[in-house]
Amino acid sequence: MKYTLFLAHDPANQPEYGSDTFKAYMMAYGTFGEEATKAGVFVAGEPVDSVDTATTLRKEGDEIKYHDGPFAELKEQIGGWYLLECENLEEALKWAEKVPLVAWGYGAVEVRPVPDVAHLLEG
Amino acid sequence: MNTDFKDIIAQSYVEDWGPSVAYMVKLTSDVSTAEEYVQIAFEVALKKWPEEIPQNKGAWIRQVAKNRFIDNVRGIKTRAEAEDAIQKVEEISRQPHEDSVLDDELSLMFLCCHPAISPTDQVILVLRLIGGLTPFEIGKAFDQHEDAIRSRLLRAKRKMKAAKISTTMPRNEDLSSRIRQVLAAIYLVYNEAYRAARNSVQERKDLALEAIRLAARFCRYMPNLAEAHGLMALILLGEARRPARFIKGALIPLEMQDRDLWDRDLIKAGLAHVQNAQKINLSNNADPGIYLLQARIAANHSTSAKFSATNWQDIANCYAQLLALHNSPLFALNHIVAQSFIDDAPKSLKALDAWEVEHNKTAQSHALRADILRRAGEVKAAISYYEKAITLETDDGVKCFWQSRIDELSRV
Repeated sequence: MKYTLFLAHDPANQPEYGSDTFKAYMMAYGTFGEEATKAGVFVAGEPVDSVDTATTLRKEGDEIKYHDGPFAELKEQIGGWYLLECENLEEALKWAEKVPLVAWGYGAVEVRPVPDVAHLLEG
Repeated sequence: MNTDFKDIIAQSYVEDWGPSVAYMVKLTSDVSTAEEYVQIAFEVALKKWPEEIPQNKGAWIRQVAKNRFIDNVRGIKTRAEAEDAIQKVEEISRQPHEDSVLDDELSLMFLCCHPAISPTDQVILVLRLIGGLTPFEIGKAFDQHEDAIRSRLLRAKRKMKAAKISTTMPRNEDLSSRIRQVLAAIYLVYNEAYRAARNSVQERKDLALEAIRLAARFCRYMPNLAEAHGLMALILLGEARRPARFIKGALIPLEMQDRDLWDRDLIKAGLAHVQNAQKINLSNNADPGIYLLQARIAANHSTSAKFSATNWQDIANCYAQLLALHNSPLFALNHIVAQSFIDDAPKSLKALDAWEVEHNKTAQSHALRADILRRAGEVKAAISYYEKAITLETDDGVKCFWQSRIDELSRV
């Protein structure tokens, strides 16, 4: 069973760029990735750049409109994601607890199961 | 259909619904499927039992539910798939079932009270899947329409399935936090019963009975868990005072309750569970938990012949220990209440000042100040604080009690 972990953080509450805490915090992501890979849980995962680099597309009438910014303005922003292969929700939640964002108290992780869409394709 | 038969099936429903759903969850790993087939089995029982009532009703229900499920699997899957699925079901059900009924039920309890499910939905799931209450009955107890309950159940069950919440026992390392979650859910059932008390006597009595039944089951699952007995005691002792707590919908405070109305059998049963819990803690060299401490406070009141004979020192000690475990404003205020019967008025008022700085002034804190002043003979000040308390309070029964205090003081 696959689970997507959305990593949401409040940009105002992050370790200062370049500080020792920041370095250790980044290292922790490396360790997390290695651990998850070794356990055979890691499928994929990347950080995403801040919302001011975002472009949002939406069709309005016949035209696809571009919007300079995220689809929703929130205090907390998506800063990255993981795709994990786990036995069940308990296992996914255990891994989510270990994501440095949560473990270090710098934000929230939202865990969502990846649904099996094969039956949707069959119509 | 004679009434005897109706009673038998109703009784079986109360006793066998939960264990049967638990058994079917084990077989099918799906809550909705489990529920559906147990429901079918009871419908079959309605037809068959008038002819012959089975010796072991629960086992009969489970057998029928399982057979119907297997029949259905045969119908919807290819032969190879069906054989696979059926073999899996047979394998699981071959495990010595009668001994594992409690394990199945316990797993279901943990499933309903999963931390990924909201506390309110946990309670609704417990009442539906273990207690066998219908959405209509749950809705009545929660003062909500049955459709609202039904959609909450659907959503929770959908999440369980879609997110693949494990239907087996939690891992050892998670056990203690998962146990806390279950105890909290059972306590919430009772709290709901307590809250609904004024609206309808019957519904809340049913809900209180359900809470007692659930707590009793949990004591059976985990007989060596002190807090399970603590929770059971707390519920029993709370329920024992119910006949005196409300008169015509108005709340009667402890001090004014007619202690002859308290249910002595429930008190006796509650005290036995307090003793059980204490014995377990003693042999494990463990400190009392939050339910046992609250039960001990309730036990203290239950065994005092009259309000003035209350052992406030022991109660104050319990609240102090509760505060160390869980720093809640309510425990803190009750600690001041207990202490106010031991200390002099100035000391109590000082403690109350500090509480109000931390938690703001509330109806309860004004009323406590009024009561301390009343006992100290400060009539005028006491009246003014009762008046303040009344303006903040929403409960008519409580307001009425405070007004009677004012009337009393005005007569002096």
